[in-house]
Amino acid sequence: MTKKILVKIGELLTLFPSSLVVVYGPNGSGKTTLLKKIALSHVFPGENIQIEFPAAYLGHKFGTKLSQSVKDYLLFCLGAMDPAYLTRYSLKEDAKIGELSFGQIQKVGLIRILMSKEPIWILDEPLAHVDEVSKNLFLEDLNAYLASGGAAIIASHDTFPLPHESIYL
Amino acid sequence: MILKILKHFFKIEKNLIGSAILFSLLYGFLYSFFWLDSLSLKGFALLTWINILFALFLISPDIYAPDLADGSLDFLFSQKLSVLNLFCAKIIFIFLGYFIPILGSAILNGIFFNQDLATIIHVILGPLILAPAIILLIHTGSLLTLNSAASGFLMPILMIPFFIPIFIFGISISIKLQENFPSSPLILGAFGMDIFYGILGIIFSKFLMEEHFR
Repeated sequence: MTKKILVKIGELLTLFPSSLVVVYGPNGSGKTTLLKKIALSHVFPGENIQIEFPAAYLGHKFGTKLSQSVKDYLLFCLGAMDPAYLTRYSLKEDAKIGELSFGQIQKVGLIRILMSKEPIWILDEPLAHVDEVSKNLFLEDLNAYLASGGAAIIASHDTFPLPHESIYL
Repeated sequence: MILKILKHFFKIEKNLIGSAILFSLLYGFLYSFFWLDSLSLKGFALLTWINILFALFLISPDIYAPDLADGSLDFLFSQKLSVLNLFCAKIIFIFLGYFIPILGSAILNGIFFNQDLATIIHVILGPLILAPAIILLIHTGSLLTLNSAASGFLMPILMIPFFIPIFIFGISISIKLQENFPSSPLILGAFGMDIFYGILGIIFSKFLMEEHFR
């Protein structure tokens, strides 16, 4: 039986359910551009990019406004909020984004991705600025997501600790 | 989706709306010292139009640039929001969030200038009728800033030549209405201008947005 293809970019990348593709490359090699093009290809179709479903996309910046609280941001993005995720990642729902550290803001973005129900995650340096404890929590969550049939494309500088297929730019 | 984004814009952009109104009021207040008793209808119409355009130019670079800088546009488009739906939300937001409050402050300026109510209403009607043309131009100008290395006011300033016909037409509407001039040809002309600028503005804005994300 042939596997369903979720994302295909010519010969460069093919993403199947339950699979993880990590895009490696030095600064300026085009990792961010590639990921953004895939994530936005529903609205701005790119050459050779085929994507079956909408994707949950986490870029370097992801629409957080300094005056917003964590709760407001998640409610705007998802229409709902599960406080269990906030507790798990040691965040407070009424904390203002402007008062959080880079790492905490990144965790807000990760929580948004975790709570989204999309079958594809596209994550640009998801573990940047995040502390070791939260990194391990996220890797656990990502593993569970992949096991449940989800698929992810991740851009990273460092070797990603979960089994994956690699692409070098 | 449009309503949800609109609500979000109003929640987030409170400060910018406040600055546009404050600028508008301050401007009128300062001028009221100089022309308190002597400002003619033509003078008041001219000042009101300059005031409105200045205030809108002031906010123009900030219509899209902050959303681009903080990743909001990437997020919204990744949610399959279409470019036209985003434009709809932004245009409604500019109208309700900036244009109407600025018109409101123009009414207060009219009171500062000792203008009677009929004059104020006639002067305000000009920009109100030409609102679609004005807003679409401001909208296109703000998208120009996204596609240029030059930031701030430089790109919206390029839109000034396109404003001149609106400006002249708008002031004549305000004055002719007050003089009980048969207004239907003028108003029809204004609607024609709205449609022309509206269609051109949407096409050009869409091109600029797609160009940016290509």
